[in-house]
Amino acid sequence: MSNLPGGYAGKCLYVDLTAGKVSIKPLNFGDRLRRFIGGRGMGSKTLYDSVGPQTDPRGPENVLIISTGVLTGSLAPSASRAVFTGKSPLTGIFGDANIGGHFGPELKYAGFDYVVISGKAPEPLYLWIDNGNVSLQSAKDLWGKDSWETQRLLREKHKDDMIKVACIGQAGENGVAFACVMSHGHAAGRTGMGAVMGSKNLKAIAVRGSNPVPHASHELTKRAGRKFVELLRNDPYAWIQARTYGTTMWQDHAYEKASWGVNNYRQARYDGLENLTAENLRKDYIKRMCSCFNCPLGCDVYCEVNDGEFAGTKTTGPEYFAFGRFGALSGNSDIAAIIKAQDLCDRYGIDVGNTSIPFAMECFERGLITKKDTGGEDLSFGNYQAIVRTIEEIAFRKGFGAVLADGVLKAVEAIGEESRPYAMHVKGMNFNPEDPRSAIDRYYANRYLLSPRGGDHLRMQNPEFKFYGGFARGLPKTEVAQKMVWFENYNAMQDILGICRFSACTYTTWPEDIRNKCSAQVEMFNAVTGLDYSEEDLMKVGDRTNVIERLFNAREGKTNKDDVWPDRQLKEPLPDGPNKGSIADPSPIKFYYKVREYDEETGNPTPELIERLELLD
Amino acid sequence: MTVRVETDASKCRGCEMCALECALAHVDAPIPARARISVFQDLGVSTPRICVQCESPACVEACVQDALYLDEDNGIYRVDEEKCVGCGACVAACPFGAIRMDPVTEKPLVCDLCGGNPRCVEVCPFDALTCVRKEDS
Repeated sequence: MSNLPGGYAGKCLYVDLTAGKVSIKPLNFGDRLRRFIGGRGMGSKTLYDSVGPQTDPRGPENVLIISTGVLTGSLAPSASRAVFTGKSPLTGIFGDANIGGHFGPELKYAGFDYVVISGKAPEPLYLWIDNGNVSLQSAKDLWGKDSWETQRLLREKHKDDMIKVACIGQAGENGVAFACVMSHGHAAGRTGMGAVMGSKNLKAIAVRGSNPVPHASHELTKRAGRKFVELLRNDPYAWIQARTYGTTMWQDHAYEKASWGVNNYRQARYDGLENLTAENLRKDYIKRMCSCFNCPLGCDVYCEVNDGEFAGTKTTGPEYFAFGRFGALSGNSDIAAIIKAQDLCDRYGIDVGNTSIPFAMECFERGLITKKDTGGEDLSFGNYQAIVRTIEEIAFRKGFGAVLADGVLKAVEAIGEESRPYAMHVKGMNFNPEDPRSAIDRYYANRYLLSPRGGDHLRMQNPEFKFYGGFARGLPKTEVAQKMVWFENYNAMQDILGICRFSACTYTTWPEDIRNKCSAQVEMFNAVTGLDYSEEDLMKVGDRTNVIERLFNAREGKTNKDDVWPDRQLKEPLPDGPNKGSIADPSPIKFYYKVREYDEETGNPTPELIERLELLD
Repeated sequence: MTVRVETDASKCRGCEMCALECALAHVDAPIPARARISVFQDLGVSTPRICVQCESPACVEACVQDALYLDEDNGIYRVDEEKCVGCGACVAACPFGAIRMDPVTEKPLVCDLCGGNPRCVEVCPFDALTCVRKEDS
């Protein structure tokens, strides 16, 4: 008799690609699952237990874990997420990437909460999960195909156009260190999980399922869900802006506050780039909007380019990240080129954030690389055609693309030490378009330093937030640090439940709504599972998840000495814009280590903390 | 009285809330694969598929068991599950791809308009579904 609460599909799938074998085990609500619950929690715990410092991220010993949220695929709104976890080929440390869309729910409908993939197939394969029937099949005909084509071919082959596919594009096949896993234009984007998949010769996972997620109470879940949706519905930021512009609306906020970097963060002023607005995107290119599973926002834009040299381009996106990196950070104001660049990244399966084109452009302008190195390409800021061509080269490791294909730190090694000051990264991962020196991000930016994934913006919200209603300035730093920790735990909680970050956090105008959204999620969790968890209980699971991820990196030799800004952020005051003269302010992070009760010397979890949080078995 | 559900694919974003609600209402299980409405998705496309209530329906024509019939009282097409042998001829015959087989009962999933107040229309957050009522058509 299963002891599983509601919410769980009930089975784990283990795939050994070396042996070509799959095995299915029932999920048990034992000690481990109680402590880590699901989604990111289970992914991170499984990675910690399976992969150590001796493991080569591209080797057969690395594992790729797909873990779905407990609420994913349930009646809980905005719960569509699954997490791909593995050791990162880009950074060599903890890696995970969260994906929305429809793949996670379908995996649960097929009966599986988790998939753990190990080994390496002797030839390209794909995993076919048809409800409880699982098989490995030849992917010879799929190898070399882009992400959209792969999905189409798999649907044709299995004669079912409702199949959900997660796959790699050519970049994953070619081992680009920051290759994504793609599903229907959605990306498990960062840390190179597509490269892990490619290194295992696994092209795709195709899923079809028809078993519902068990609910303790449909009615109570719907009731709690309505509270969550009401909060979105009453917030113009979510219900009007996000539904109209998707995440590109942040471009406009950034423009007002000059908080995004221009020309590889050399400047903050948008002179000559004023046309980069969400409204211009909507007016000329957005044709419709797409939604993740069971989400009432539908904030994924779909664009078409109808004239000019990129005519015929169709893509989901661009998201704000592409808008920032292929726009202002590359000195480019051509929106059609941004759309084309996003399309190529989606097709080939490349993380937009780690393409390092702004870095290459600064190196070019400073003469550290010349046309001789770039195969004749003029990589000056603003050369929109060069942006598009360079993405193509990265995916296939052609020409100068090969230099950028292993991430920014490998590019520094190839170009020379003098290029290091222009690599805008933390722990080998490029960060968000937001410049850490701008006032809006003064403390918020420290999330890039503290995320276990390296320069990543998604693990924490603004500790000075009143979000878009203004900012609470002048808080004592201990309080700032407490808020940082609260947000880290809250964000982990969403990733454990499978709730979207945008719905739960970023699309929020009023700070009290964040607390209300948090309690609505706890209510949804209890309604689906039939358990009786308090907010504190679930936040503790988030706490464990954050600390075990830090512990993974500690075992890889990382310490607080690695939580540092590039010199530009610390030593070069912003030369222009409303925040002229300011530099990054990492001062709250030593308070953060204290609040987390990390070791004073190393900034890592202490044996007492590890024991108290019951991180190990 | 509702006579059909009209779909607007340009408004549909593909969230599948309609399918969740439909399956919940009909089989008490929130699972899109058992819904009488489905949403086909591809690059730039989200198309809701649901019975359009044809005047001379190919599905009824195709059914050699006479298991598909028009309920004269309310104008709703229904499946006589006793007569139906699950051959799938109706699925193949529907030019709109609006009929699927229920993977559990192996009988066709045909929209019954929820007896006149389609739940899918009520829950769609993007106004992609509307009821056409007799007086409108």
